Amino acid sequence: MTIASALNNALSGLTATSKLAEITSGNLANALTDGYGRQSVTLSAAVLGGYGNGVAVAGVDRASSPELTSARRIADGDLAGGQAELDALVRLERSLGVAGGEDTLATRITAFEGALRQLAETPELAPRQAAAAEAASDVVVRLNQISTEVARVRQTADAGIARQVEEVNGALTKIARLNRQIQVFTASGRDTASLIDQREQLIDRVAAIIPIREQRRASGVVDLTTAQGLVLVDTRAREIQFTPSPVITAPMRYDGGAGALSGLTLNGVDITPGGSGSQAIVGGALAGQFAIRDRIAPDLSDRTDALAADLIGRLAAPGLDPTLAPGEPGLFTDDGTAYDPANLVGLAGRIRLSAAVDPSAGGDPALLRDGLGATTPGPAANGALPRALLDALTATSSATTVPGLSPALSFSEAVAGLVELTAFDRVSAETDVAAFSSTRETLASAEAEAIGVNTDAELQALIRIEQAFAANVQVIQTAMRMLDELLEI
Amino acid sequence: MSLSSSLNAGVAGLSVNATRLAVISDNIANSSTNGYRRVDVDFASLVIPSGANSYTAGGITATTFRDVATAGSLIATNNATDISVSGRGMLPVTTVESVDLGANERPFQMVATGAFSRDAAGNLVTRSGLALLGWPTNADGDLLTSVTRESPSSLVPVQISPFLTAAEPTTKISLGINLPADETTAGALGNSFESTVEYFDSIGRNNQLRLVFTPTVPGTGSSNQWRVSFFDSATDPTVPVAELDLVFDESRTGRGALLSVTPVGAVPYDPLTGIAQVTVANGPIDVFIGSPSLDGGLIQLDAPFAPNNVSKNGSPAGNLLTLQINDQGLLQAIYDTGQIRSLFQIPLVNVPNLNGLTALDGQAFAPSPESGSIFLWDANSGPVGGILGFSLQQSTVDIARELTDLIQTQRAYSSNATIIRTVDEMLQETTNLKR
Repeated sequence: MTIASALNNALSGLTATSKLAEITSGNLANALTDGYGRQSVTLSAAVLGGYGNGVAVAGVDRASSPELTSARRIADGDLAGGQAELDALVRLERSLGVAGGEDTLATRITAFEGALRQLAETPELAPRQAAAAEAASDVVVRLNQISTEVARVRQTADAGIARQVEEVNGALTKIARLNRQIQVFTASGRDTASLIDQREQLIDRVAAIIPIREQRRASGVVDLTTAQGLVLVDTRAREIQFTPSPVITAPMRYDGGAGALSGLTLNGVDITPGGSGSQAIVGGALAGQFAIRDRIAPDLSDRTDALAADLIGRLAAPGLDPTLAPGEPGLFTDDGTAYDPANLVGLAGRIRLSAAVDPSAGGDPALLRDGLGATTPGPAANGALPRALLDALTATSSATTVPGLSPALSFSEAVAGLVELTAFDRVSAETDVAAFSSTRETLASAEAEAIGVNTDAELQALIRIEQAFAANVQVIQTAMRMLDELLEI
Repeated sequence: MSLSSSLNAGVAGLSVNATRLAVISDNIANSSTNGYRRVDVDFASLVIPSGANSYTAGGITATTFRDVATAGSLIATNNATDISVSGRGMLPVTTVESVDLGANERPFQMVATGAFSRDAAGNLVTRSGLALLGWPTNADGDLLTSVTRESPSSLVPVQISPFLTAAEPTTKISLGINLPADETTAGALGNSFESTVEYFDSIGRNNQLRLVFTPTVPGTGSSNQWRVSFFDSATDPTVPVAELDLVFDESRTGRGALLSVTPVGAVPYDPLTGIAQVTVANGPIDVFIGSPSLDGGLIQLDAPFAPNNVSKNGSPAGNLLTLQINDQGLLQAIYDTGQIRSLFQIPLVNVPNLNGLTALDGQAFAPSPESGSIFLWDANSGPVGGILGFSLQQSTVDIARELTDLIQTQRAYSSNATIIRTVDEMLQETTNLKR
């Protein structure tokens, strides 16, 4: 009966326009949500047995732009990695003290040199002897602090790796679960757009940490692999293995799994960023943390160790202090003993002022005038040793060359050189981050334009939905009036 | 005598219009009954032979009949097992009470449409007490046994266990992987690359097929040679189940495609299809790795190792989610893993004379001698139409027509009553001639 069909068509129109209103309202509500993909309803004419039967909601689609999203994810990873490296470098630079700062390694060296100079002029004054010993101790303390700070930065990076690995593993499990749910929803013909949105956000989080590759399967499921082709999620989520180290000291290194520090493995394959594996991760926040732990911080540690070795070496030169037998430790020691070049790693953390002159260890600062091995007080006005020590510090020939610097530098020049090298690294990281950040912004806004919500367009759609709804209501009213007419005959 | 014949004709007129009223009222009452076929009345005049100068009114008889051949229009619903027929033919059903009886003891009925749902025993039944019949099929929709199409003897009640679980083993894997060309040049480290493909065995277990690609590093130049080893997690994961030596073509025409594939040991490889048969714990899996004459498969370019296009069939064990019926009449189970398996084929019943069917309660019909014998057709074949899920067939009653008929019936009835009154008055006049 045709009036009944008319009513039926109008009813299907009402259902469809209600669905449109629902989706449009969802879009508008999420106009400011990051990573939200605009949803759209596809309508189609309903046909039953060859005859028109009103309108049907064919499906709800989520706008997507796989290329832009994948490019933006790579930029996310670069930015996160670069930012982590920059943060670490800023922290390391601050521990050294920036050039021109008030209390830095360089000012402490200058103060030590000044104290030695004054002692050389008036070697008989006990306060000046004590001041020189104090200044020497300050230098040592500062080097120890730098070593501790470097270890702490590495510790933070290691903990950061553990946290990120946990986050990735958690997200992968959730992605696998969402995949399953999307599969079930697709099989039963329900809307999956919101679930896909959730999954995309999780994939975003993973992709910022580890660069990934996405492969779409039937019924809305995605498989994830690392950019190097190892499976992260198929039917199940795989787990990335990492063992955090509770304490990291200077000699502890990652050495392809043989060293004291843990690398990353996925399904038994070594994927440590910067490691020797053929399918090692490249890029992303995790790679940034590994760079800090295994490259940036150890580099600075090696340099400060060399600097400490230089300091010990300069002031323990044979003949400098005639009261010392060859092989005996000089003014600075490797934790009380003579420095052994084979034992360089971690020296900055172990360097100490010789106990003989350190008042806090029961030593006598007067030995700075008489010689560290002197058993009886020497001539009160003998400034030869302080002068020799000062000369050794300012001589433009290093006992141990700091990697990356010229060997023909005075000690304070070497310190300045070290600060400069670190500053250079920091500036270069800053430039990288600025570049990553602008790339990321460009891609993110392009992506938002492609898949995000356009409020104007949605409002315009809303007006059309309202009109369509009103038109369908009109049909129902008309059909009702027609039936009324019939009954009034 | 013509006056009394008029009275008889008037009474007959009242009677047939009362019949027509009953038909109309039944039609209007069922104007919203899905699958209802309207009843119509045929009036036939009776003639009594009369002479040239007299006329004897013969009166009228009414025959009612149900217009089964005209189908109602379809409306969409939200239920996959709301089934209707578009075009000729009807769905075979029986009564719920006789579901457990033998094929020949079950009453055979047919309906044009039905809102079926699963009852506690898993039968697909309507609320009016009719159970759907069909032929059982295998997962691909092929009939399990040969069936009789001339009688309902091979039809069985459609019964679907509520706890249906099924898995589909993986039998095909297709590899689309780029191998990094620089790993086969002199001086390369010779590291191997690996990827895993999960596969499902016959009971839906999730196993891993690990693929390890090992390059051959020559002393000088490029070897372009790789060995791919397949390791099965279900058997010994350290011993490869299959190995193949691959050589890639770096010439201008080859552009990194496969040049040759040589199985190591007894691995069946067909260069025409590019398929190597890898036997895992569960049985053989056809792995497409490509061949020199085909596009796709493995390729070696100076680009990072990238398993860009690895696909497989099969699915893990899934639970029954919902049912659907396709227009071929196959009742299919949809599992939550996305796999679709056919369970039953629902044929369509056709009889030579649809209007001769005997109408029963619940919009059902039964074959009768007038309808002719039944024949079971596959949907969308022969004279019959298709089967549609998510739809119901509306009643064929048109309210406007019934109301119009109602008006006509009322007028006809009062006209006949007027005849009787007139005859009565005329007879009164005759009686009054003699006082």
